[in-house]
Amino acid sequence: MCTHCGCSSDKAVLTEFASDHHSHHHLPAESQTLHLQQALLAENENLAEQNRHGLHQQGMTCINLMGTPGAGKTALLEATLQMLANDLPPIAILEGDQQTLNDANRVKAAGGHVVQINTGTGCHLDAELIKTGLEKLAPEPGSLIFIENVGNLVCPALFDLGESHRIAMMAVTDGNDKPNKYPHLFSSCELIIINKADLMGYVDFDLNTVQQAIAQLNPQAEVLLLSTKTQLGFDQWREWLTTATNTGYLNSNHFLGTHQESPTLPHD
Amino acid sequence: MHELSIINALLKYIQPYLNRKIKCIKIEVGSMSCIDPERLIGCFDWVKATAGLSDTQLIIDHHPAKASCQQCHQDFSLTQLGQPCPCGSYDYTLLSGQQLTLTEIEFA
Repeated sequence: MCTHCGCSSDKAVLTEFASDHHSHHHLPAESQTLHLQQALLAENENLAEQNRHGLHQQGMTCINLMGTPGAGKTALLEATLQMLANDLPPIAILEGDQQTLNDANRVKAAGGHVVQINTGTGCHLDAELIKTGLEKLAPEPGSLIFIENVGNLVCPALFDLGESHRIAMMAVTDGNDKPNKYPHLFSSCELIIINKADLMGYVDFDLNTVQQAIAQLNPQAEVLLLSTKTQLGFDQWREWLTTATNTGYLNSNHFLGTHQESPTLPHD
Repeated sequence: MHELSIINALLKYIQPYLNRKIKCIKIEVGSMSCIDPERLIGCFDWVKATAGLSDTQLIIDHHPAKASCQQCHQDFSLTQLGQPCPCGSYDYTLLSGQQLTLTEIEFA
């Protein structure tokens, strides 16, 4: 740093020989450093807001179903189509997986109207994929839309898709510590489904431990223990879906749950 | 690998300034943003040459999260999700810490 004026040493210094002083070639500060406040996820958030607005306009409810691979997300959709279709609005499904049409074929066989989104190397769905997916799916107004996200407990948490509700799903076979290990996802959902309750007696799984972890991460979240195999918990699942389809769209930050960032307060 | 999606978003915002040599790019990452800063730099290093940013450094400005407790009504720093307020309550609202923001482009 120059001791004369305090300017940065990496600016050009012009020294006049045979003189005891030097002068600076100061570039205008604004041309050296550009100060911005650009949210990096702004594009996704804008698209998500467009999706949300479009869905709301057509009276649709949209659920982003996220969870571990193998938690039973597709099995839940199959069972919902088979058991609860008469109690619910028309169901349409966007299936997200890196590869294959397996899940789309399964829910189609169960009577679902479905479009498969293959993300290739992508680890999550984003608002643009949902926008395109919804155009292809063309659900009828008033539909209940499920987005089955890529089985992954990390990346999907960050990307708003324009959904009205978020669900995190795990199974008793996943172990007790999933909420603590993947807090971002579990703290951003309204409902946490613990599937494969029928296997509870065969694996080391302590429901109290998991419920306690969830209560600390996301005190407002509901926890639903169910089994897609035996339909344990399906009465509560039907009630939750009925409430979800009857409640209007929440604001764009709803999925951040209790620990949501206040939109009105500035960043520090 | 959602960090690569973040870097791709960053490159879009940098695009209009590529006519000048960029010395460093500064981004602000909140500690509750679900982003691994080291992986973010790793992803930037992978793509910087093809993006015309071989000599550009990505600087990450870490921001700790702040929360407001609904029980004792005090603000406190949060280092990880699921951490209680010093009063013991888990019922709090995040005030900051989820930001992912491009804040500075310094030209060479």
